[in-house]
Amino acid sequence: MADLSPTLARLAALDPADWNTGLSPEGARLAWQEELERIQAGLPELEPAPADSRLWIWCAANVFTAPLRFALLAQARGMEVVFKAPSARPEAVLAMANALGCRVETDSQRALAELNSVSSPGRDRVLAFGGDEAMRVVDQSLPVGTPRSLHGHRVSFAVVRAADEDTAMALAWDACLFDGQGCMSPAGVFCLGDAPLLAERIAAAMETLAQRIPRGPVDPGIGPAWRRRTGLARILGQCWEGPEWAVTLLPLDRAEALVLPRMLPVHPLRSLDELEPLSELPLSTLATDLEPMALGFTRTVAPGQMQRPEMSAVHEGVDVVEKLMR
Amino acid sequence: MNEDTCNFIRQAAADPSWGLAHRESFGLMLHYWQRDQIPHLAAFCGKVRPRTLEEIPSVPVGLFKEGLDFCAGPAAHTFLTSGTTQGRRGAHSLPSLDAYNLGAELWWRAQVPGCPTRVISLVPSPEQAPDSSLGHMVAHFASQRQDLFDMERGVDHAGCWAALSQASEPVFVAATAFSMAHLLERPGQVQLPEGSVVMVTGGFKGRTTQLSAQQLRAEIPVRLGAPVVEEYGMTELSSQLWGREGRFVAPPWMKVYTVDPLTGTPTRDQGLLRFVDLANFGSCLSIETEDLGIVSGQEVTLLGRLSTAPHRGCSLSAEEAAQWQI
Repeated sequence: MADLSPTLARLAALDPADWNTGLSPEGARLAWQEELERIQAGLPELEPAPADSRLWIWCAANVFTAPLRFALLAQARGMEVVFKAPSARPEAVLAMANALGCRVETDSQRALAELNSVSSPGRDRVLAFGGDEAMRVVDQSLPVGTPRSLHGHRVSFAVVRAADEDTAMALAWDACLFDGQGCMSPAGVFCLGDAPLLAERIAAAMETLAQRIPRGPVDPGIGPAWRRRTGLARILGQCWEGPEWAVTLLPLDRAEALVLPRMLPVHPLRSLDELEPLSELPLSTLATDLEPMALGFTRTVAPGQMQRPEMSAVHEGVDVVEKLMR
Repeated sequence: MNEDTCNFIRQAAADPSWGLAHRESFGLMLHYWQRDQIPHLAAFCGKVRPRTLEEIPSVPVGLFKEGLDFCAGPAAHTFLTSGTTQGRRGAHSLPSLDAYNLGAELWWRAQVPGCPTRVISLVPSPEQAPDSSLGHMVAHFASQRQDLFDMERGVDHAGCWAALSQASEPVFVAATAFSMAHLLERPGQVQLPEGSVVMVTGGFKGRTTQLSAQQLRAEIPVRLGAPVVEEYGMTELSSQLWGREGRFVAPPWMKVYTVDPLTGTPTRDQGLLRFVDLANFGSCLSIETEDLGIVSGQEVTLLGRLSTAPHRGCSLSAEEAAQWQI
């Protein structure tokens, strides 16, 4: 296995504040630092990959740290890594690629043309993150037989019984890290215990975190949806709101799958049976203080760990190393 | 309050300067009355005690899709949104149509003086779609009406061209932009009798036509031989604006202002349009749209629909999320 220490040192020296991550400088630095720490602590021993193999990583524009661990896993196995940077926000990928000594392609058509060229049959494997439509295009455009692991839209939730301050702070971290970007952000919290108390405590925690890691710039287009949901909460439940965050307490039948940046809806829950409709969604992460439940989540963690994925080759239930690096 | 509002509208229509001078005090009185009548509105407003029309908490149009009760008393009539752009239909219930009908007619007569009342209608008829506010308005204007729109089959193009070519007296042709564009995509050209008027309203709501809005405006006088007037209205409002080439004039019983789309704070520049419509006496005076515009006094330049936050990466899009309900 290659020695990644110099690479990790180069990565640690980077400042993601100017990478157009959609996060505040504080938020971007924290996300970057935490991801590097997880990678450093958890990089497994790996067998070499097949000679002359190459991993293409199709990056999404939201969670800027997501491709890093897989690039390092591939490099540790001696694979060449090529990034396809998101056209909307390429900066983070360009900086990471530079530190990793990887090539970057910013144009989808050129990337797909290269993957379809006859000069490299059997060499390429593709790991892709993004929207469902982008994943469909990638899937249809790759040569038949190219190994691929494509990760489209997903949504995450928390289901808890506790309403103590630690749980509230942990859930606030889940909502604040990455500002609700990405499929591991909680779309809502279902509470079997004292939901109003939990919501109030999450609101206090959100206020605290807003001082420590301010929200990044958000699209003005979220305004109407933000005011619709806070208005609905004032009418049917309760709403706690700061300049850049909100916690809503709403009846269960008002649960939504849409994540708004730093808005966390809390819903009282009488029984876990009421969560059955969740299984209709493409689920990613469940944060819970209960026993794991069979609703179709690909990852179950404790509150506070939703946006802190453990260093692992598995993403959304897929062992990426097994699938693409052997 | 119904009668008071009708009297106010009558007087303001007769003397717009009087209407503008007294709009604020009458509007605030109506607003506080509404809060007493409508518990959901009172909850939405919370502790806010407005002293100007701009300070009245503005209800986002999205909240009309939530099945809330914003009607001051038993509903005499409920208008529904088309539901073309999003799955759920918004509902606007009114305890009386008196102010709606009076305001609509007086402002139409003021803005389209001498407009014929023989109507060729390319909009849903009240018989087929009693919940269409547009169909209701057009029918209210008509002394005679020829309906050439069917809810199942759409516009009867052949019948429409025949009716237009047979018109021997001035007619008022009422159409949505979408139905008119489709009519003009079919061959046909007529010279309507002198005094005829063609009304178009609404956008294309994401549906495809071969004509842009600008082309549509240019083509109507050439193909139909009559001037074009544009109407801006919405299910959640009782009053309409009339104008030409994307510039509309609001009645003196309506105040229009713009807000920052993200924060909802009033702005002097272009922004999200909010309407304080005194003819909405029986529901909510202040409505926040999802349309962008520039306001100068009673004149509104429409700039189009606010684009909702661009979707990035692997979290669910608003459209996908809207499909799911627990």
